[in-house]
Amino acid sequence: MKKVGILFFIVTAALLNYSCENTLNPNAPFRERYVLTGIMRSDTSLQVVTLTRSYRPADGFNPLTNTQDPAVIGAEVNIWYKDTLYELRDTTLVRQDTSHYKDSVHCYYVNNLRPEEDQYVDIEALLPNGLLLQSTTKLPDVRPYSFFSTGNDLVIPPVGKDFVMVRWDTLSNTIFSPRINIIYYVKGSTEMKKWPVPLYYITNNDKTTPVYPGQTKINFVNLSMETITRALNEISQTVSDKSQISISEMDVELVVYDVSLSTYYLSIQGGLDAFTVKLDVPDYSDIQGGYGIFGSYVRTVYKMKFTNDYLKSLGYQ
Amino acid sequence: MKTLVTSLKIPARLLFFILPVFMFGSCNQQVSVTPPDLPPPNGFIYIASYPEGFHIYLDGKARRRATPDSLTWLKTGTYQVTLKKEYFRDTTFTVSVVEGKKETAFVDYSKNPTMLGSINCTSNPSQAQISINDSTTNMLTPKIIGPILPGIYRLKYHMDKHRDVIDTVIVTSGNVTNSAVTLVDTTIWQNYTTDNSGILSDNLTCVLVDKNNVLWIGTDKAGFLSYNGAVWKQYTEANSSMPDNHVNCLAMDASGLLFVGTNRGFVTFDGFNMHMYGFRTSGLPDFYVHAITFDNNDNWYIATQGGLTEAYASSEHGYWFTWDTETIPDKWITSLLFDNKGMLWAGMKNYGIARRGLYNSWEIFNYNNTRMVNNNVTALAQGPDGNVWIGFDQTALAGSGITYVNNSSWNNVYPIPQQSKTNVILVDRMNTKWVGTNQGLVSFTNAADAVTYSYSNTGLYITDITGLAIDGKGYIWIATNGQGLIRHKMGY
Repeated sequence: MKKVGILFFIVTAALLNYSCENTLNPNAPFRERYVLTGIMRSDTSLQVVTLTRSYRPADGFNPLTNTQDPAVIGAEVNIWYKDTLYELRDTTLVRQDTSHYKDSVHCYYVNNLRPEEDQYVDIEALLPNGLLLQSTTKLPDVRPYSFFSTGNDLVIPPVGKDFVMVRWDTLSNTIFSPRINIIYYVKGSTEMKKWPVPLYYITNNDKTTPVYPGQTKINFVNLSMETITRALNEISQTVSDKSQISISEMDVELVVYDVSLSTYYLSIQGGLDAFTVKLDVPDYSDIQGGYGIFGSYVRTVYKMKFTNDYLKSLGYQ
Repeated sequence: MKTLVTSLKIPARLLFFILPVFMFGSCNQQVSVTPPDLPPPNGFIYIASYPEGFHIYLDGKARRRATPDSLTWLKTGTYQVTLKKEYFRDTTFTVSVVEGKKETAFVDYSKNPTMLGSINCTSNPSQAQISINDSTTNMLTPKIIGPILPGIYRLKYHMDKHRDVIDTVIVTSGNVTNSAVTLVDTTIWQNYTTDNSGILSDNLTCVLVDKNNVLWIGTDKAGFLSYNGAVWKQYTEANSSMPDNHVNCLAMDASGLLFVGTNRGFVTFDGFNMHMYGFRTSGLPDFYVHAITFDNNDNWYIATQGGLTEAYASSEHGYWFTWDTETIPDKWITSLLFDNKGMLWAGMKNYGIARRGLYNSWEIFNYNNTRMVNNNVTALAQGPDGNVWIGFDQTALAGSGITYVNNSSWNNVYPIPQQSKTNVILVDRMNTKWVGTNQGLVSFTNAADAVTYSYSNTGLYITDITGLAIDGKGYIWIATNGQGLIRHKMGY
């Protein structure tokens, strides 16, 4: 009987030891999540929305092992704008970049909606499984004749200054993406061409690099005449005969993001101050019931003319 | 081990029970677990209506649904449902939804009087039979039909010896829609359009009836037509010697030779052969020919924008003479008339009337020396009593007058619509004056009793009258610009 008791004790201890072993899995339990992405634009009547689902990579780690687009097909996607319902239709597009997904791009679109400034756009996506994704965006209020400052320079070069400054109104919780372009034509062609103008050039180890504006909360651009002159001279390097180029104007093209997109860019870019925490892209969402981003932007342009004397001094006619 | 067991004096049976408990409890771990995903809400509303096809709104937002249909995946709660359909008033009601249960809503619009409308059907003449959406009814006009569901209704009115009239009306909730029609009495009126006959244009410029009761009709862009009561024929630049497809005037001489004035000269047509007289190729002073007439000696008189020309019969119409502006002050001659005394009347666009007497002397009559309506003469006609009637362009004025000349007495009467342009005047054997204007047709014996023909008393849209002619069967033929040709039995 004693032997039996000892044997029982040993077996039990062994079982006890074995039973506490557990396999360590670094992956959390997989749960399917849904992502809605759509940017409403005021400069086109074609609005596109994508719906995708999260997925577990085939090998558990590398997302590139999944080559099938995780799009959600068969959802009912509706947009409301000014009390009108716009029913988005689903379609497929030929994928240009097949480095990851190999099949077609699935998306939802509407081609008769051109939202205006200062207007709300609501979206709902009812997925085939009954999940509802919702969001709202309000387009920034950018009225072209009041948005840019009335005292901005109209001609280049400005009188008595060696720089050009273009200001615009600040909008709360909104960031801007300015792009400066010189508009020109090559004689014999009616195609309008754009030459991007940097904010400035930096020189490092005798190598000069242009620095273009990015997303910013700053409500002005300041360009030195030296930068503008350099950009103008670069245009002429694209042709053998400078007289073939007709310089039209310089535009400050301003993309103004709505609050959602502004918050998104500020969250993922960080760098506003030493205390800002930079988020990963998937961590930001303004979609109720899912993930993703539904935002909007408007585009507006401020135009400035060059003086004939200035263009002639650079060899342009 | 033996020592431990024995020294602690733990009974083996007790170990047998304690160890599994210890074994079970020893592996407890504190693990943070994400709560499970909740299933989507499964509230459900089925919404139906009579009639069907109402757009469904949920809490003020349009859904991609129309009755009968269902709204699914709803959370538990109270929802405001609105049904909308064109011509109906909106209907809003609330539905309480509980997840896991199916709610049903049904709206019968036919039971709600405020949702219905009606049609007030009247006709001239009355007692016309009414059909609704191609279904015959026993209802006769005047009749109020309803209450009925809102929507588009196709009403047909029928009466013996009258042309059926189809009227499409829209009925809306809570409103009475009027459907007032006039049935064309086909024993009196008949119209010929490109929709109901072989006529090749609805835009006509003039009409003439020859002694065989064949109609000759000028058109705006389709040359000229003939109609013998059965067959329509067309003469254009493409199939004849016509120099232009716009016809300004028609005339026929005593021999039955047809003259067709166009914007590029004129042609003569004897039924087989056509001969063209153009600017520069003949003695015509201008391209535009507006009127043609003849005297008893078969001399031709051609009114153009470049003057009045006479082509002499004695030279087989090979010699042409155009009066200068010292004799006839306006080059632009709009109308011509040989009266029963042999005097030639020429209506001028801006200078009144030029009249040639029996001894080739010309007199000029205008507003200043006659007080005629104005100097913009457009039409001339003579009645059986010898009175000459003159029509005018008053589109820029507020006038409604025409002038008649009784021997040497000039008089104005005012039977036609304000600011209308008289295009043509015809006086029949009963001395009834028929005045075709750009605003409709007017007839009168005494100006005070003038009758204006319109949709309300004929059933026809009689608007821009461009030509009038009487045949030998007692019909007056009315050419219109836009409404084709109309035939009216005289005496009614």
